[in-house]
Amino acid sequence: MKSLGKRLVGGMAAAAVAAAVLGGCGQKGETGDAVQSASASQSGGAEEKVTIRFTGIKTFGEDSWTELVKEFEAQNPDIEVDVHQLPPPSMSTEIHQYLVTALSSGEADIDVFTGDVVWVPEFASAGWTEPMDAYVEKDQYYPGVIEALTYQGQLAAMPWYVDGGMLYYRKDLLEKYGQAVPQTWDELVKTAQFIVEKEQNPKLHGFLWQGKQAEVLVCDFVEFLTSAGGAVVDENEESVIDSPATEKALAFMKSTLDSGISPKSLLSYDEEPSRTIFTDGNAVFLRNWSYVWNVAQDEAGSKVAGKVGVAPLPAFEGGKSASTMGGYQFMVAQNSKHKEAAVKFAQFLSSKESQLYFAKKMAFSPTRPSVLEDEDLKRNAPFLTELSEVFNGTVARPITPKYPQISLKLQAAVSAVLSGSLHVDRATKQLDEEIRAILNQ
Amino acid sequence: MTNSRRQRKSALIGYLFIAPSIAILAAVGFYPVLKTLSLSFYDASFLDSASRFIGLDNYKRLLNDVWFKISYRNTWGFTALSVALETAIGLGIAVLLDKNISGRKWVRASVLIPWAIPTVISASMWQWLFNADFGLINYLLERLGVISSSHNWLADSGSAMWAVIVADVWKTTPFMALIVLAAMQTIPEDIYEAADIDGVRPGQRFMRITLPMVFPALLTAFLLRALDAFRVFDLVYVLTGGGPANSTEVLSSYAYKTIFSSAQVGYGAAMATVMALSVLVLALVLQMLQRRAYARIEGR
Amino acid sequence: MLRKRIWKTVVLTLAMTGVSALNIGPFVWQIITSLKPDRDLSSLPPLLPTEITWTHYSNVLQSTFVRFIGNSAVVAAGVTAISLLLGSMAAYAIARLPIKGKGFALGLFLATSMFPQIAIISPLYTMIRGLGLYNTHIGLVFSYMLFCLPLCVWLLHGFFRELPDGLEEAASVDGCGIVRTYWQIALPLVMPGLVTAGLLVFIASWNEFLIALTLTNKVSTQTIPVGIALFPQMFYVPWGDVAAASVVVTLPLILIVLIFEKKLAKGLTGGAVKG
Repeated sequence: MKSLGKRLVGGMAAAAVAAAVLGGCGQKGETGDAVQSASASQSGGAEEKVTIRFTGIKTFGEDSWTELVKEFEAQNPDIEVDVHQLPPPSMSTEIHQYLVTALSSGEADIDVFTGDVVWVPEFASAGWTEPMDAYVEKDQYYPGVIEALTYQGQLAAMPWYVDGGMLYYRKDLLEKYGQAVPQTWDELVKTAQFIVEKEQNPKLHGFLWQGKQAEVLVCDFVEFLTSAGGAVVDENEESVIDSPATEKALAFMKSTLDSGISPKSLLSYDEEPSRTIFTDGNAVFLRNWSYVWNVAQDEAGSKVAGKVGVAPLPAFEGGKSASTMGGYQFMVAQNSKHKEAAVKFAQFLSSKESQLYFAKKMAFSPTRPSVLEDEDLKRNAPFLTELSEVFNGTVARPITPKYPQISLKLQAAVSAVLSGSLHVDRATKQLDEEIRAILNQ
Repeated sequence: MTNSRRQRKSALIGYLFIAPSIAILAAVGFYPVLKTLSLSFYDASFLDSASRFIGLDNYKRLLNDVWFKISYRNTWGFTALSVALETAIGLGIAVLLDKNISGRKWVRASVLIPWAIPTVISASMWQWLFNADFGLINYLLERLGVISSSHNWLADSGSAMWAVIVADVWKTTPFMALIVLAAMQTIPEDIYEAADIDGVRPGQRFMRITLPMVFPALLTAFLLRALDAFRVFDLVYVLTGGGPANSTEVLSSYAYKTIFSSAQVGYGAAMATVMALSVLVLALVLQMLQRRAYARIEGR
Repeated sequence: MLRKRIWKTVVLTLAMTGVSALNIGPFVWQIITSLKPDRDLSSLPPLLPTEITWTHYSNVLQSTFVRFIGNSAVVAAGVTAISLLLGSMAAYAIARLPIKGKGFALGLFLATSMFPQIAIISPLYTMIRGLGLYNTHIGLVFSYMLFCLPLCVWLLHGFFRELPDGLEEAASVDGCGIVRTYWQIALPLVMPGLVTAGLLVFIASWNEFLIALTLTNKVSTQTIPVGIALFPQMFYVPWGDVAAASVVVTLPLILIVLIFEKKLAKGLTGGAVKG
């Protein structure tokens, strides 16, 4: 009896030790690199096979990277790519969390990874990215994108795709009432009000955008702000948010809710909830990213397939249409043990062929203008070519390592304005103070 | 064997019994917890491997941080309301399930479903339920005449927290119900038989026998739930992201944003420590209550 | 008397139905959603599908998602088994054995649960990597101990306390040592507690997301919540598939509850002391 107890304890202790030892043997191959190349050379292969680790976001299908990886490995038989698929951009904070945790630990075993365009300065400042200047012909890409990816004079990432906010509208409704596609926000409001009144459909909303207290709110805000001629920071990384343009933008955003052309429930909507209402046929205008195009045209899920048009966003009177620059980019890890192979892979992913692949598969707008000249693409995805000026002219959010902190403050303040608990002028002053404090840290 | 030798042997076995658990917790929790504590005294950031010791500066900063104060208040409010509701409803459900009614088996299984559904899915379910345009809740409330027109539950900073509480209560009441039910099941039948013979009415039976006997388990469940509620993260994050206007921002979500969005690890660690200390106070109070409850039962 | 009995039964049945409805309702809705074609997914009405489609289920079951379920099962089972065993031992010791520092021990078990998980994720990651347990089932099981072990200890300690004082005495008279008493007598007596703790812990591990996301990067170890996070394409969420997935992952849990439900029932403590 006493031995039973002792045996139990002893057995468990042994099991625990065994587990630790087994686990510690890295059977899952986390010390894989060393093991892999060792066994490769042991098998007496002609070349040293190098395995690089790629941490990429999921974009479509079950495994979005299989085809490209196969292609790359065929072209480079001495390189093997091990893919870790991260959640898609809808979970951007979790992706950021993972990357930050892994990269800061110094032992991430990541060679190439994808990150949101707004994270690039942050990661570069932390020393996690390898400069890409030597590997990229900068003039092959949109200058705006290159600028957004440059930190302290060095290009920190290889461009992948660019996304931008755009105006989706109900072609059929506009035609029915002989309305033109609005060029200014005022026109949009008038058109929306007119159509909603005439349609007499209580479910129909005039204008949908994203008001949830999240990053997307900042994206929307930046579009309104820039089209009013304002900005958050200037080229010297100084806050210029205290301006009439900011007040104008905020006031307009609030007015859409107050006047009722935008539903108040917008304050809890991000990309998908707003998109769903539009594709269900219950909105005249929608501001959203490019992914909506394919979804809206898919008859299996959209009730407005064939009735949707897309155009650049309107601007304020006298201003220029602005679209916030989104999109993920490729970075090579600074402490990668296989930089040569990693850079090759990154270059491959950023090449014209790969960008064409993504353009055809996902309607991802390429960051290389030359891709849009492809005849096949022009025919099958006119959406991309027709809106190329939108993608080319996207506006970057503040290009600074402190951007995430600034974004949080913007999210809180703009959300407070929209829900009525903060006045527009008070918000502007408060934001200016907060942003200055952050930038001066 | 003499009494004292047996005592010593029992004690030894006791320590051996506890040892593996403490060892594991020490291994898994020790390093992370201590590291977090120590980080709170540095201006640590993910982006900068060099960090300076700044003593209590992070904590001082917290005192002036409006967003933190809002989160702190929201968290206490959420915890108090959620756990109170869960306890009341959970107790009710446990009483119901304690009865010998046919079909009890299925009801018991159904009770666990809210707890079983992954948070990310139940959160999105609630988003639809609370939807202003076509959510079921507005539909029902309007039909029943409780409200005159549909309300924006999640988009209104006045009601968003209530919506979160409702979703949380739905999800975690099973936790309470099950624990209390299990406690009820261990009350020996003969006590009830004796009470019946004495002619005690059902209401009195509940108040005088059942409730006091399950009170310690209730307190344990209350404590565990309060700890969980105070640290709530998943539900809030998916349902509202902390908005609108920070009305649903809780300490965990604010700390998450601080650590992983702004990369301010030291500051976030200070937040975590304040959270732990707050909860410690709560735990001590509840433990004291529990000790008294046990004394009352065991003295009986 | 009979009227009162009937009335009572009616009220109770209504109450039970109400409770069941509230609990099952959303789940039933998930089932309905999983059978709807994409077009019907987001509007209400119609409540019921215009046509039943099994595409969502085939999407889920033919994909790697099945492996995620397998991983979750392994991890959850491991966590439950270990935390029930070790937790019950520790709870028994604290509740019934003459050790010193009981309050302190209980407090210690609570202390790790006081820190928010999100705060300790980063050091946890570093530690797990350092131990070579990154991307292993064991790494996850080990990490989940953090919140599962205290839960078991606290719950079971309460149940053990309720057992009659004379239990160990009576057992030793019959020739049972402490360990036998714990294993063969005390444990069965607290079966409702064991089953409850086991269910709660199993489900918590089944549904844990952040730690799983941070500590795994391969389909061979990733669990269900990570799998669900991988469903959306860019921003577009395939609600039909997600609903089907949620039904598929909740059914095993319901099954487990039904299997163990009897153990939750009364009757095991009945004759304990008398016999």
